[in-house]
Amino acid sequence: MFFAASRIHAADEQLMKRIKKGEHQAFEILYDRYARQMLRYFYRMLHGDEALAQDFLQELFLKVIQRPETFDHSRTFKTWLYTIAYNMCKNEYRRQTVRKNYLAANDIISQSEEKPAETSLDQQYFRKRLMSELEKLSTDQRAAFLLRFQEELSITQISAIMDCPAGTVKSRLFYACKKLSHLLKEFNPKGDG
Amino acid sequence: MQKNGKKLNGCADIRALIIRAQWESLNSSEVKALENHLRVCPSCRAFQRQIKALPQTLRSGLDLEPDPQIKERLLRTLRDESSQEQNIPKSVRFFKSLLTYRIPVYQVALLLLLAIGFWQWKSHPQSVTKQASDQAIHHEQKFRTSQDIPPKIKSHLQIVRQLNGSLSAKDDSTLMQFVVTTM
Repeated sequence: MFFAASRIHAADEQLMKRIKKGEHQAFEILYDRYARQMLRYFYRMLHGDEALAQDFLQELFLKVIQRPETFDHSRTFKTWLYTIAYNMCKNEYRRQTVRKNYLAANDIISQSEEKPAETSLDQQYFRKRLMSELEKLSTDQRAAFLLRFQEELSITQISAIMDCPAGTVKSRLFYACKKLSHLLKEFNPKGDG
Repeated sequence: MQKNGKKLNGCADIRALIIRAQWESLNSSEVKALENHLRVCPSCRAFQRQIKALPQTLRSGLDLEPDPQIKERLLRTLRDESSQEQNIPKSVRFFKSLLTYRIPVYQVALLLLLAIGFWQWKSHPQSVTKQASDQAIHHEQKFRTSQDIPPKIKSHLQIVRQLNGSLSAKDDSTLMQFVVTTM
């Protein structure tokens, strides 16, 4: 019982060592820990295409299984996983197979995000618009924005994932927020100051 | 409130501060300017609330669940991979692990280059010395037999003899080597 609990709370990096030895249980724990958040990340990065996000999720964890030796123990597992995910999305953009039809993406978002327990219609509309405007950001700006605000990663982690200096991440975040606040200004009328 | 000589009272400046405050701490004058502005500007207060609520906004309503089949497929792959690994002989597995070991290629290449350079540098003076020594012996033999030592060398030898007192035959030979190599 004690050992089972300690296994569940084991650090990601320890679990990776066990995966290298072929331990299924370690993989299951890691998968359960990260699958949902990685799916959410892929979903947002891939313009709300859920089927593609599920495919990417499978491909991501397949890389963890098939090439565990590429894991650099000087980094955290989370950063490494997001780095792979970010590069997968970047490659996908390069291949130009991602749907670029914003309207179609909006339809998907509106279908999947309908939630009866929504507190206010304004909030619901704001979120829908935010998702739609996110598509207008550059790939790097969107990635930085999602990693910071959706996944709540630190600037240091994001700079490691995106393989760029912290200053560049801050600049991308700043301009992403500025652009979004301009695009969504109807939700926030300009003050008199 | 001033920042780089620029007034920090407009909504645009304050909103830029609100955004920046999400990932870095503001200095005391910026905090003061922000507080003063937010006290009187409901629009910027609303903006701050929206920015702070971004993680919740981005996540809410997004009830995505990973396809359960994905996990099954991955676990099956893991099982297959580990059973394949078991079938591979131990010696092959050892060499395979060596191949997959991450080597810092650039650093190793640099070290190798440095080692080669050092070896070259080290071996070069030695070969030159040996060559000079052979040459000196040759000259010495020649001079000793013909008694035809150039006057310049003779004078050098004389000076050194005067400075060091009497020299043995061995010392004389070394001196001859030195003089020939420096000619």
